[in-house]
Amino acid sequence: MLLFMLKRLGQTLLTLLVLTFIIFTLARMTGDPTPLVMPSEATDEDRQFFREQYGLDRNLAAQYVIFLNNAAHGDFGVSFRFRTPAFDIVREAVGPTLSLAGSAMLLAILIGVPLGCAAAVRRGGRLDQFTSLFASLGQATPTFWVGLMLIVLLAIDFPIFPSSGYGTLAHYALPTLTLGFYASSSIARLTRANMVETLKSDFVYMERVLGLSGWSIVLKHALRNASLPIVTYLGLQFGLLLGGAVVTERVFAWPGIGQTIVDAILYRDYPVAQAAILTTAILFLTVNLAVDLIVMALDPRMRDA
Amino acid sequence: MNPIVEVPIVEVQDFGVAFGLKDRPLHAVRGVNLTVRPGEIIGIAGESGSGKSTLCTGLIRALAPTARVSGRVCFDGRSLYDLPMREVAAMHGRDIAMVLQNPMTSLDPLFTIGNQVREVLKRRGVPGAQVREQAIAALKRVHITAPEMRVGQFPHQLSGGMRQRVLIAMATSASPRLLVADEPTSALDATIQDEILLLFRELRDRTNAAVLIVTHELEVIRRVCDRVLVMYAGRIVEQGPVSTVFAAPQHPYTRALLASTPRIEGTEVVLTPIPGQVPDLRTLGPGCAFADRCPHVVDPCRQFKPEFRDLGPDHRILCRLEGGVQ
Ligand SMILES: Nc1ncnc2c1ncn2[C@@H]1O[C@H](COP(=O)(O)OP(=O)(O)O)[C@@H](O)[C@H]1O
Ligand SMILES: [Mg+2]
Repeated sequence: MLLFMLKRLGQTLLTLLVLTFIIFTLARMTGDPTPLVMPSEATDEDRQFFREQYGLDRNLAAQYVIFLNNAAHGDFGVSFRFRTPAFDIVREAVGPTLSLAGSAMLLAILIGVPLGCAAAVRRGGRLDQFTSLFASLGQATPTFWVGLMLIVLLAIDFPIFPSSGYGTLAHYALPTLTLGFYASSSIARLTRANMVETLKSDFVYMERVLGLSGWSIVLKHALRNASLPIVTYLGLQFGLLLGGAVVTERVFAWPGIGQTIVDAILYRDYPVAQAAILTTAILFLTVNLAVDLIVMALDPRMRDA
Repeated sequence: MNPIVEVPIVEVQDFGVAFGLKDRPLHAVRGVNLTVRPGEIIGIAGESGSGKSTLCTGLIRALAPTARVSGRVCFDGRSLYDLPMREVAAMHGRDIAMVLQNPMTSLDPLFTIGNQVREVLKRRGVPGAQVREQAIAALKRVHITAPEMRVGQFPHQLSGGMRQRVLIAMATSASPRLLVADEPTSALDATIQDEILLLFRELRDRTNAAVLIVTHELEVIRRVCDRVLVMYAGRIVEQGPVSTVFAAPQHPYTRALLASTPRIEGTEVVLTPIPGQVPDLRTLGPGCAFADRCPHVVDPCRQFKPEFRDLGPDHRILCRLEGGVQ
């Protein structure tokens, strides 16, 4: 168990190292940021000065070593664009991203798990049919379209929630619904599939003929067994939301990390792009680690493996 | 066996179970008449697919929801299929117990043995303060060593034999009146088989429960059971006291089945396999299902429904041949 954790930690660190290299190289492949950053009337000397100041004149290997060394100390350099520390920019975006991903996941769990369970218990019933429809719609509808429709409906036609921006609790409503719709549909489908399988298993049949209560069989035994793959999937979803909610962030002008990355790449703002991607990666790996721990807490077979 | 004639615990009349489409049904069990008395151990034999499991689960109303049932099953004088499911569920585990074939998958892998045994006991109304103690006592009764330690273990940390013991402990925690064990030892080592079978005898001796054991191994029936049912293609083709049936089997299928189990003659192990195949239950004709494989078949066997014939006290066969062919 301890050995497993150490191994897992080692893996995580190695993954991060490889990732820094990829990020670093990719960022440089997008081209020289100097023309984008410097005003057009800047002289060649000015440009050269900028390159030297940011170490862009050194060879790539040297740049990488400097980058690693600084990153290890939490220093990702200064944003080319805003001239403030890159990490400060990223740090401001992490909060909105985490809280939006969290609220969307929460919504998805609250809707998806009970719906999937109920559908599995009453297979072929009304609720099951509704769940199938809901799952198909949720997965087939593009996020930006859902977002726009929600804005039209709940911000313009019935102005209940603000259409965009960040700040108050009300601002969470529409982006949470948008992301939560997709996530809850896939969680409902997964919960249903896993519950259907688990309800067919020998131990559930045994518990039935032992006369245990239906509630205990479904909610204590079956759901817990079915939840193992669901927890893994939730971790993955959460990880994706951390970095991949770009479209939703765009639609709702949400100051999250997805937007920060896209903007940083567009402006060839290497320091910010590197800091943001690396931060996302660390968050992603942390979530993965947490998922492993949760699964281990749930499944004694994993603890002995 | 029992000096006084006891009221039967289970009475089955013309019981049938069908699966599949209405217009193309698969009759897994049909025409079963059976009486089970308290304190008797009944063995059910037959090739796989002959409907043994379906009959057992049908007797206690624990069939898959797709099954269609006909006839009548009375448990303790009450018609099981006329009761609301809620009442049947209350009888499950309390008056009626079942042990399944595969102990490896019949326990919830995520909870400790103790947790699962205690949940069953609580369900039986054992007061909270006594649950711990009684869980350990229940495990002791099935001869689990170091039960105090086992209650903290998870199913995957136990051997198959141990798990089957735990399952038997849970199933019999309330002194059921009927225990159904569907191939309880097929997944276990031969050495463990006897110890498990002994548990069923102990339960019977302690509580006078009736026990139904499904098994592939006729030897088990010979050693442990009082009465034997031989099933073929969904029907009971011969039933009678173990001593009578094993000494002089009357139905051609019973004879073939006995001959097909390995036995030692002199220095050799011999067996005579039953020729032919188990028939497709969907395309059975009106005649005897065993006709195509029967060495004594005569024309009427194929055309007419076979009929039950009583050959002695409690001994009957489903065959038209007069007295069998010796
Ligand atoms: N749930 C079910 N759905 C459809 N057919 C079934 C089901 N259970 C059993 N059967 C069929 O019923 C017949 C008898 O099966 P079973 O009772 O399991 O036999 P045995 O226990 O003697 O091997 C088989 O042909 C089997 O395919
Ligand atoms: Mg079977």
